Amino acid sequence: MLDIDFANILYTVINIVLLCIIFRIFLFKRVDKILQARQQEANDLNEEAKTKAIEAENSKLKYENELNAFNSQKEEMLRQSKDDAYREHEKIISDARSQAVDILDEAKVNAKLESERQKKIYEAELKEMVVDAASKIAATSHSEEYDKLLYDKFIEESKGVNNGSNEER
Amino acid sequence: MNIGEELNALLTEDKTAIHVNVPFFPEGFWDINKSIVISWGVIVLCLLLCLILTSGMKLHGISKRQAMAEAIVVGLRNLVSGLVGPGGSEYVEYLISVMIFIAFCNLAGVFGLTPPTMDLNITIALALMSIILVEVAGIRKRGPRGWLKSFTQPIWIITPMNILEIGIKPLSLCMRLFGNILGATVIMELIRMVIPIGVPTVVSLYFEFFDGIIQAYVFIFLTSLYISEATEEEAE
Amino acid sequence: MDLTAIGAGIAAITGIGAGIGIGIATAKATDAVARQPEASGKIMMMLILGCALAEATAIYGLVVALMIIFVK
Repeated sequence: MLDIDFANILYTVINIVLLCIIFRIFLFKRVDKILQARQQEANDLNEEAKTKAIEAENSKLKYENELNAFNSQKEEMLRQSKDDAYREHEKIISDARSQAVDILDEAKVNAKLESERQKKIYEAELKEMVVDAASKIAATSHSEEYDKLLYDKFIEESKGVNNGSNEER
Repeated sequence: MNIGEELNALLTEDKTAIHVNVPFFPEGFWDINKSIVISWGVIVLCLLLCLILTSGMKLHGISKRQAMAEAIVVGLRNLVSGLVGPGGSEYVEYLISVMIFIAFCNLAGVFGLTPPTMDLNITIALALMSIILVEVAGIRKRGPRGWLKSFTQPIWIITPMNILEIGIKPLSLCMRLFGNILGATVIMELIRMVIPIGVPTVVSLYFEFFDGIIQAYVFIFLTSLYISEATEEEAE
Repeated sequence: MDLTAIGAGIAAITGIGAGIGIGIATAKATDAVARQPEASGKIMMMLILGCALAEATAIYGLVVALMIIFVK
């Protein structure tokens, strides 16, 4: 039961080494090959997916760039048209303003002329009145009371003329 | 004393199977034992199993055999790698091979053969290979100086114990395996003698299947524990 | 008088140690499973391993007893 002999130990060692080699060649290497192939395939798929993702990212970037360029172009155009419109508007306004100034000037001139005319009419009326008054004074007797009345009447009349011209303006 | 004679016959039988005579060696030195012949049978069985399991391996649409082969390889590799730690990953395949070998040897009793691991020579060989592997792993990992220095870890006073352990570890490994299988076989023989029908089948489930596989696992567990101990990084 | 049987019987006393060891291990394992039922698989594995290691002492006793009886 307990007889130990060197030869059998040696045989067993050889056996186990042989078994290890058998397992290595016929089990581990074969299964490893399959597992590695599977891993490789998975890696390939992964790689492919990654490259596709990168491509998609790239095209997205491209489109974004294009969109940005388009947007900036649009903005440029918008700004330009805005500028144009503003310029036009400015021009129109300035034109209108100058026209308005012209009209105003004209109106002012007209008013001046009108007032001149009025003044002239008024002066003529005054002159006439004065002449009338003077002739009246000269024609009638020189009583003091009558004079006073005349003055009053003259003042009344001139007041009426003044008021009338005022209302006219 | 029928039982005693039977046991005596079982334990003290002449184990020589093949006589090999080599000149210049004493008579019977190179004789081959029965256990060696049975372990050859185990090796041939393993080879056949490998060939059957791994024949016609495909990448897609795998067969059940291939799925089994892959499950065995991946499962055992994970199990042993977890035991042996990061320092001894190159010894995993050896450990798996030895585990399968021991398991099949222990299960030989199911087929009415004497388990090869009941022969002390085979367990001594296994234990010797294990302790050599452990020390080689230590030397390879730490270098000869580091390996010698590891005997004084954790304190110098424990050095004799560490040196003694080189002998105790394989002795314990080989005696545990041998004793367990011997005990199981003896008990099974006794049961077969007392109740020949029915009961031995049920009891062999524990003593031969369960105990055999557990002992194979324990052998590998302890070996990988020693390897991971020998190759672990020194905490400085 | 043949004293080898007595010697073998004394060698078989190692079974006491193994029995106590396995008993303690099982008690602790039961405790651990009661505390953490989700870790029962791992605990079971450790228990079986510990039992196999503890049983080894009893097996040593058996081997010694058998040696005493049969090795002449």
